[in-house]
Parts: sequence; structure tokens; C-alpha cells
Amino acid sequence: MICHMCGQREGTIHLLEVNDGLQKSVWLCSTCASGRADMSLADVLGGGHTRETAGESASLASFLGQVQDSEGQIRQVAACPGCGYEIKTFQDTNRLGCSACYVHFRAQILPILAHYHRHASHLGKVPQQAGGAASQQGEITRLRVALEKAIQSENYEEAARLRDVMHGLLDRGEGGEGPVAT
Amino acid sequence: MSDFFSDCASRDPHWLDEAGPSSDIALSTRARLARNLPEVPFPHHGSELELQTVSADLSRRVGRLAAFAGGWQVDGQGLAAVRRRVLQEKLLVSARFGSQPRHQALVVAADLARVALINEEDHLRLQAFRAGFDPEGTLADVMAVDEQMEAEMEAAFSPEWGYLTASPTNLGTGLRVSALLHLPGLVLVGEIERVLNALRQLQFSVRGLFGEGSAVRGGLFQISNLITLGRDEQEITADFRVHVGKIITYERSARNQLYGRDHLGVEDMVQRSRAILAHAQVITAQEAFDCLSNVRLGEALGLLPVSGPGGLNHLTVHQQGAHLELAAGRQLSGREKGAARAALLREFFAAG
Repeated sequence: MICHMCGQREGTIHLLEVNDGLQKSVWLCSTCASGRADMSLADVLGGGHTRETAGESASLASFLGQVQDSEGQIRQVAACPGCGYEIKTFQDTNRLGCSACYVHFRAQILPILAHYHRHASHLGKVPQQAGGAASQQGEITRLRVALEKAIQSENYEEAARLRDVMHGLLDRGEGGEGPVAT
Repeated sequence: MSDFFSDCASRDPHWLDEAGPSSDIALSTRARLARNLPEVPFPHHGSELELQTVSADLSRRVGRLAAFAGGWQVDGQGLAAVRRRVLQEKLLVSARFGSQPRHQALVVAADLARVALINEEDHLRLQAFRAGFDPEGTLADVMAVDEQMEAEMEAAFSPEWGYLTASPTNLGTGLRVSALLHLPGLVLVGEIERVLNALRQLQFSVRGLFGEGSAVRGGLFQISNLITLGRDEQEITADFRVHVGKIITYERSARNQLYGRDHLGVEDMVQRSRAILAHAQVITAQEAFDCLSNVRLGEALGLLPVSGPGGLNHLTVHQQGAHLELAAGRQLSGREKGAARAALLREFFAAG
């Protein structure tokens, strides 16, 4: 296959994207896939927007462009009340405006997260000040993933154990949120 | 605090000169955490005043952490282009630092193994570096800095999506683990594309130096995890060790295969490269990267004596354009750079 980006070299890297059941295939040569061709260690170190993520954001742009309402009209989403950011800017920058954008544009962001990351919920470190409910949320998500894995590998004993631990935590969580007895 | 650039050579990252695990193949490992202030616009969307405030505030807060005691603060605002490029060439900041120089700042720890970037893509990026292949060590280092920083800064966080970042690609842990690998064996046996494609399929980002006609230059690649959400820090790091560790194993066997198949050809390539470095009067960065790569391979195969600390990695950094200009104290033309680069390399190789 010829590289879709430069149209000259042999495409050796295959990007396969599935949007709304629609499959899109892109071939890139290593030069285009690697981005820049000038010589500096900084190019290796780079970080951030590699050409791979640029390729993905192009597909995200088309995804966002496809967000339609029931009458087939492209839905207009109001700007973020926190910082005035508009979701269409995301198509060009692949960035949001502020942390409040994640709440405001939740519906637009959710399908994108599934595209970038395998699970769309956080596992891992919880900042100390978030503590309490936040860390329990993390623990429950962790258990849910482990439970999924146990069921997949037909380890039903472990799955039952994880389910009980999870339910115990959920029960305690609901109780803990009530008023404190004096 | 002295000027970071006044004695540029003495400000080389120790982790580039030290030997670490698998340092015959892995030059260094880096772990980075992305953190942001809640409700404050991300740097690319911030007003002048917001950026200025964030920069001053975070610089002060990071500067007083125990992890950065005795280090340097570098103000990105008004920093000369050559100095910005020197930071990039030392691998301390990404190519993006300074590309949008709006109130960016840098705090560097005394040992240069920990770096805080302020107002780059995110409000704060904490980075830790170690020599060789050490994902767990760099993770522990950067998490320790993050722990200290928690007392100083409330980070934007959602229980559902974790640490909130300017780009959703960093959401969750905000953790990016990267290794800088030297893979000339896989390049020379023609296996590199297959191996790197497999890594890409596994959701790793691969960056390299590519010249004309997609030829790989210098044999250096940086591999990083892409998935940051839905896995915890330990799982991301363990996954990184497994898959990148395999690449290191493949590279070792490719080197052995290559040498076993045509030892005379390999020795010839290594010695020719060394001779070019010892005698050239003008040399481009491309050719220098390639020759240094071959010499590095020769040292790993035991065909050349090992240059030791301050050797090849130091040269790889200092033969780059901005380092040459900073050493010369003025802007250099392409040809002048080629001559200065050749002189630097001759001094090292002709003496050896």
C-alpha cells in the first residue's frame, strides 16, 4: 500500500479505526508515521502529539463532526460555562479548555475515551485531598475490572469472592454517606 | 542560584552518563505525571494574566519541595532560542517547550534527574529520569515528587476519570513511561518495522530519528505507553516492562545474529565509523548520529573499548547544533557547525 499521507513511499504502518461500526483503514510510511525528519534527539524524546495521535485526532474530528441529533442535524453544543471553550476547537487542538470542560462536554468526551483507552474509568492514585469517597470509587472500579477478568477466564470461585467484596464495599459506602450518629 | 547555562557541560544529566540496567541498549528511562489546577484554563487556553499567575505560583511551590533543593529555576519567558534548544538537546524538555513560549518555566533538581515543567501542555508536568531500563525506579521517583507536591497544589481530579489533563490522551493517571533505546541490530537485520508495528498494536507510541527514504538514523527510538486511563500506575509500568523488555531481548539476539552472520562486515562498519569520527574535518549531525550509533554498537559487542561515563552519551548530546552554538558563544552557519562538530568528535576519538 502507498502511504496515505505523502502518497509516495510504501505504507508499512496500518492504522485501523472503527467509528459507529464504520471501519476506516489508513496506511502510513515510517517517515510520515514518525513525523519530523530533521535531526535532533529532541525529536526522539518529543512526547505529546506524535503523528500517531495526530492521526487519531483527525479521526476524532470526523467523529465529532458526525455527532447528530435525531433529525440528522449536527448538534450544537454550548461553550463551557467555566472557560468559554467550544468543543469544535477540540477538533483542531485535541485539547480541552479547563477541568470543568470534562463535566460540560461529558457526552462528547465519553466515546473518545473508549477510543484512546481501554477502560473509561480511573484506576490508580487518588490525591489525598480527594480521599474518602473518591478512593472508594477507585477501589470499586478496580474490583469491577478484576471481576470481569475472572468471569472471562471462567474462574467463578474468584468471581464470587470479588462480587462479595464489592457488594460489601458498596453497602458500607451507602451507609457511610448517611448522617453521623451523635 | 547560579545560571543554568553558565557552565553548560557541567549541567549534563547524570542519568545519561551512568550505567543502568540493560544500559547496553537502554540509554535512559523517564516517567512523567501530568497535573492541572482545577477550574483554571489549561495553558493553551489561558489568558496572559492566568498564565503569568500560574507560572509564578507553581514555580515558587515546586521550588520549595525537598526534591528540588539546590536545583535551578529556568524562566521560559524571554529565554533565547539557543538556550531553549540546549534544554531540548539535553533531553530535559520536550520539543514543545518553548514552541509556545507563554510563561513557561522549568524547575530542575540538583542531580538533573527530576524536572518540573510549568505551563507546557499541562499546568504541571513532573518528570523523573534514570539511567538504563528502570521503569519501576523512575515511577517511584516521580510518585515521590508528586506526594510532596500534594501538600502544595490541589490537582484537578475526578473519581471517574482520574487526573484531568489538557488532552484526553493523558487522562487518568497522567502517567507516561518512556525508554530511550538503541536498536541498531533490529535496524540492520531488517526486523525493526515488524517489531515497532507490534508495539504500536499494543498501544505504545514509537518515535525515532528518520532520514530520507524512511532510513533510520542513529538507531535511537523512544517508546512510551499510550494508555493512561483504566490501569493503575503499577500496571502501566509492569506492562511497559514486559513489552519493552521483549524489545531489548530481541535487540540482543539481533546483534548476535548480525555478528554471527557477518562479523567482518560488522567490524568494518564499526571501525570505519570510528575512523570518520576521529578524522573528519566537517560532519553533519546525521552522519555523526549514524557513526556514534555504530561505535556504540561496537562497544556493546566488545569490538571497541568502552568509552565509559561522559563518553558517547555526552558526545551525542554535545555534537548537536544548539550545544555547539552555546559553546561558540555565537550563531553558527551550517558549515561552521559541521566543522565545530568534527573538532569536538576528533578531540575525543583521535586521542583515544
